[in-house]
Amino acid sequence: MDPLLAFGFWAFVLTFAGIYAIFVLGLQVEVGDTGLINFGHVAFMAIGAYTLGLGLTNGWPMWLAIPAAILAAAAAGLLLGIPTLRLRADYFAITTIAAGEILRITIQNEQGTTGGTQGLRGASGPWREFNNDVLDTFQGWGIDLDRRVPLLVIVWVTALLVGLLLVYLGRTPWRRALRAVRENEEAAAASGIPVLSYKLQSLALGSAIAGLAGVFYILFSTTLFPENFEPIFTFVGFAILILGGIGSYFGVVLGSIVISFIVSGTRFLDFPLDADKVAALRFVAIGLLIMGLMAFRPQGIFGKKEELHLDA
Amino acid sequence: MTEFLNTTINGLSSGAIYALGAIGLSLVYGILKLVNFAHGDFMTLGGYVAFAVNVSAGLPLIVAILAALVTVAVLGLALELAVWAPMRRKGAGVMQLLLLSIGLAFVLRNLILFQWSGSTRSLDVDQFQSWNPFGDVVITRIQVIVMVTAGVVLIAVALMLRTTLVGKSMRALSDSFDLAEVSGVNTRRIVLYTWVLAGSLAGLAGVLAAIYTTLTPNTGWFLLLSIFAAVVLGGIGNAYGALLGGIVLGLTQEWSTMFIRPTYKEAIGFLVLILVLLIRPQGIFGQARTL
Repeated sequence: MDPLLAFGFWAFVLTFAGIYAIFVLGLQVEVGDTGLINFGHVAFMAIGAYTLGLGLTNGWPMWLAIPAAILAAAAAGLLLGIPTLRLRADYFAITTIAAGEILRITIQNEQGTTGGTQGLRGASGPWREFNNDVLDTFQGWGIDLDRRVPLLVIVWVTALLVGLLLVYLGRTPWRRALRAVRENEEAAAASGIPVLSYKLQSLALGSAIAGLAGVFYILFSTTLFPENFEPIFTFVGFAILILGGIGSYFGVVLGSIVISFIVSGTRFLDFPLDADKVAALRFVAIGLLIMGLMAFRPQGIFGKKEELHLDA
Repeated sequence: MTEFLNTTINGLSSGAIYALGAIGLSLVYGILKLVNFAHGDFMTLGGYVAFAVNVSAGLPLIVAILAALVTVAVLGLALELAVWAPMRRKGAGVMQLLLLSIGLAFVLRNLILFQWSGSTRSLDVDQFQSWNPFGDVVITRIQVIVMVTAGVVLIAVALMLRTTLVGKSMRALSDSFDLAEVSGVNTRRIVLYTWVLAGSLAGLAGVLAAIYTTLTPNTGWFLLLSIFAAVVLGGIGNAYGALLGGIVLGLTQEWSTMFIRPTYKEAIGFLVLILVLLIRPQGIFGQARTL
């Protein structure tokens, strides 16, 4: 492969991995720290992405639209959580996936607002200008940057900051209370922890992080389609989470790079098969990985077995 | 009135497919505490086996249906022996089994994609023949096939569950596994029969879905959430409930198209699912104790 082309390709794979890392960090707060199996996580990314997209196409400035996107996702998390968090874990999982699908079908149908299946276009202008400014500045210093580099750097710096924030929160009583809720709800409630309120906070924080992933998703892909937000996106997120280890933030980073490599990084390998067949085999591999991990090492690579709570 | 009758016919057709899928999903959920996300892909496999027999090999539809039933039943049995039974012996939790079934769903769906590609397939059935029983009411040949096949099978399954020892044991196990076991039910054998029943019904549902709509590697997956809704509607683990839940859901979705855009009808099913879980988690036909 041409090395320059190869650079663009790897920048693409790694940016995608970084967006996934942010997305799954949000999932980690919910699943790993709190024990909430949220299968509708992608819906909050969709809310972040579409809020930013609609904000920008309606002339909002970036500095306003990005926080709005994150807040909208967090608010949606609260809204979904208030009625559904009382449900048993398996019911909660099915409810969240159904809610996510309702949102996706609505986006698909409300063409007038969201562009529907035609896609939401025209939101990438402000980002492109900013990106060009950055490239020009570096050129002024005599450095020729590939146009994909700024987003790659910003995505991974953000992933790092989100990870650091979560590590910091991990040292506070807040996360200890979350983990107490995960370990034993009754005991936590008996010790005076308002269980539902903590679960809601966790869901709001996880959703806000998913919204942030949505912000980068729209900058990355420039056009939004409802089919970008199918449940499979969440399930791949779960594969990352399980591989890295439930409860481990570092595992999320590693998992997202490995899984993104399997999903898109293997494109440069020449298989003696049709592209469609190779694509199918990639997901067979991810499926086998999920099955094997669940069967033999449910705590993943960096997770701790005693922190794993999968018995609902 | 015509619109009401037409949507009722559509609702009964899709509801019959949901019901076939829901019975097995509900029994497996109730008996084994397995939320099987691969159930939709069992259905898809049934559709493709029928496609291979009916279109690729050119054999009659009835042979294709039987082949699909047998293949998916065997798959259900094989997975029980190779995956689920060993996992239960290890003491795997509900969510662990659920996530494992998602991995399995990925594997099945993409093996189907690998084998048959993503293009839309259909079975060798006359797609266009239809009748007007009265007025402007339309019923298509396809709907007759779906409703008659599903109707006969659903009645047979309901009778089997009510009158035979195997059927009663299945329901007993779903009610309370331990209680059934101490009462002398051979749980191991009943679990295997449950997989045969769940697999063959899923296979049939897949063939009928392939006839009624179109067949792609995602056909079963797209039906699965509606089938979950039917299961929850009927009360998890309750086989009759699942049957009725499927039909009620099919009718609700189709009737809703009289008031809102038809492209929203799936969302209506999911809304029903959420509302039932929030308001009446034992299902509309279930009793609180079956939880």
